[in-house]
Amino acid sequence: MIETKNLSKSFKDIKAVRDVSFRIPTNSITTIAGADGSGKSTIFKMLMGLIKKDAGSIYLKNEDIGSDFNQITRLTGYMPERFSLYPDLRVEENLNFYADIHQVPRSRREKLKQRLLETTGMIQFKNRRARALSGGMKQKLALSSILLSAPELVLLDEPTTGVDPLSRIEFSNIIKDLKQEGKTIFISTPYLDEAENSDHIIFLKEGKIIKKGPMKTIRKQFPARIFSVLPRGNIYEIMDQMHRHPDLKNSIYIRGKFIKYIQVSSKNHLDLLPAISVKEESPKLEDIFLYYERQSTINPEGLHASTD
Amino acid sequence: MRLFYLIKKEFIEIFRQKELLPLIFIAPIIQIIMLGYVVKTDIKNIPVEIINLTSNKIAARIINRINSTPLFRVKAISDQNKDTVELLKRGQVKAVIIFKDPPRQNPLNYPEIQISLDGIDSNTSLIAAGYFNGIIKKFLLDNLKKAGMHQPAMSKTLIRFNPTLESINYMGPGIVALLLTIISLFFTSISIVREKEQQTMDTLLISRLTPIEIYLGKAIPTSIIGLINMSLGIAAVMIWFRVPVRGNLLYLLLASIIFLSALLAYALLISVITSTQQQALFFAWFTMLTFMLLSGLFTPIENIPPGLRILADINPIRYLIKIIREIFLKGNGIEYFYKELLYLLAIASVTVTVSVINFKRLISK
Repeated sequence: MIETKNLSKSFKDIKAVRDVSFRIPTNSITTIAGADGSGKSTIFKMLMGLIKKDAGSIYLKNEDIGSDFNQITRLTGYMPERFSLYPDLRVEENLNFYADIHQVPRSRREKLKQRLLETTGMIQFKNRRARALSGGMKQKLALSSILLSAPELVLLDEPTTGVDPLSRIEFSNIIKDLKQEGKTIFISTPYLDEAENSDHIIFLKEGKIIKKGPMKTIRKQFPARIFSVLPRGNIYEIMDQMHRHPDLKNSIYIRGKFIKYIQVSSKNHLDLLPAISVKEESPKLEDIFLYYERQSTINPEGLHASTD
Repeated sequence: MRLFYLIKKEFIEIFRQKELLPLIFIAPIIQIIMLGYVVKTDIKNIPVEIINLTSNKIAARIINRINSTPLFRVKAISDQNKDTVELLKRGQVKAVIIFKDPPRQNPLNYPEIQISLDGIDSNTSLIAAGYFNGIIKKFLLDNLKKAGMHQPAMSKTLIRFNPTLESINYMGPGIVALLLTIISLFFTSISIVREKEQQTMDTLLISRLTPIEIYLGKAIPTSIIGLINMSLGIAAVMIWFRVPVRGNLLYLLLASIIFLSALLAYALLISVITSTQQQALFFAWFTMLTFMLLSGLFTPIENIPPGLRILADINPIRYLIKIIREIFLKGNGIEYFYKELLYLLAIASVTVTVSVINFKRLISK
């Protein structure tokens, strides 16, 4: 559907996006994950033509768009990171305004609007001003707005940031439904648990892709083992001690009351950890991300980003 | 049609801000009435102290005249000599008038009169001196008349367009122009920056709206509000201050529309270079103040030094104030101020072009 090649962008001395190349297949969910400031939003804005790219190319349906973003904006519904509708307009007025400026025919709009309001549970709030909505409701309103133009491609930039857990689950279900309807979804998130249902994943660090590929392949090819350790003693003191150990410092992190240990090499260092119990786990996306993130720190040039 | 939806949205947003409505529609009228009184340059009730050191009858008659005019407010009359500098230092009076015995060689027996003025407020002092000389002149002329004599030479002054020399007639229309400037400049610059702040600008930019449509969608509603305000202001100066409107107000509407396109282009420029409403407010305030000082409203354009005159030349308010006074007081038609209209058109063309280019550059960062 959409593809980028060597996309780069700098803001003065800061390289926000560095040589980013990826492909978003049609009718799939692709998630781009990375910490805050890793360049996710900049990539979205470059795709929409809101920020001028310094270098690289963007392809839509295998054609280089050059600097003509009209094709992309016509096919795409883009939801920015922050709520971007009008707080003084009512829910329905916001939807109508969005549809008006995107020239959605009235005949098509009314039915779709009704369905979206029902699906998102917003029907009873349609006369409420947007400023009076909760964070989750605001995001649902923003999503409903962009879906009114029936886009083929849906770009969602951190749609669940600042949203309560229940709304996050609802959001996740709506996204799955969108895929069922044949839409292509590109979503960014700092929450890796949300990315578990994606078809494709892109890990981003400091503007650079550290790993990307189909989710199944990424999981299958994960080269390390994950252990969950219930420590004996104060977890922070133990972490402090273990971080001084050269074999452990990049292989452990805290998750709740457990220490997670990523066994990278054939040698296991678990015996160094004072433990009450040790359990091997199947790797979660979070573990996979952390593994590649640490590996990129140890050996910045040694990673092979793509598993395509 | 897309433009219509944007304009409709702007109006909904403006009218939903209930706290702002009185500020938009009532405050300007109050402001114009208040300013109308404050900016009057006619000075009355100048506080004076009289020191009468003579029993001369003519002196007593002149003091009577000073007492009965509304131009001066006599705070004290004493027959003891006082330190005039000390009296002025205390600041309770702006002038001290001293009457002394007539000089010996004065056959008409007129007293010697000395007036000391507080020169800190030079304008008031000069006006007070003028008023006082006028009183003396009138007194002498009346005396000549009584003696059956005539003034040897006489000049007759005819003041046209504002015969009573009421300063409100001069200032009132200017304040109306100022009102239109304040509302339109502030509203437009803030409203565009607000779109940036709440990230709705991105929503507009990826829609089918063109940059020109976005600009017009912002400028048209604020222009309409500005023109409503101006109409209210005109009504206020006409009804409250009885300022005459002798010309055709349709010319004023035409001039205001051209003026607004220039002014709102400045507002667009402000919104391009700022990223928060706070910054936009600051810039709009600075711009308005500069425009106001160089507008000819408070000081004649001819008094502005040549270096600053360039700024005055690109100041659209200057031309609007000139046109508005021509229409209000002289009742002039377009043939008398077409040059000012052309200047306004030229400024509008340049500023709109520069602003739209910059706006386009901003959105394609």
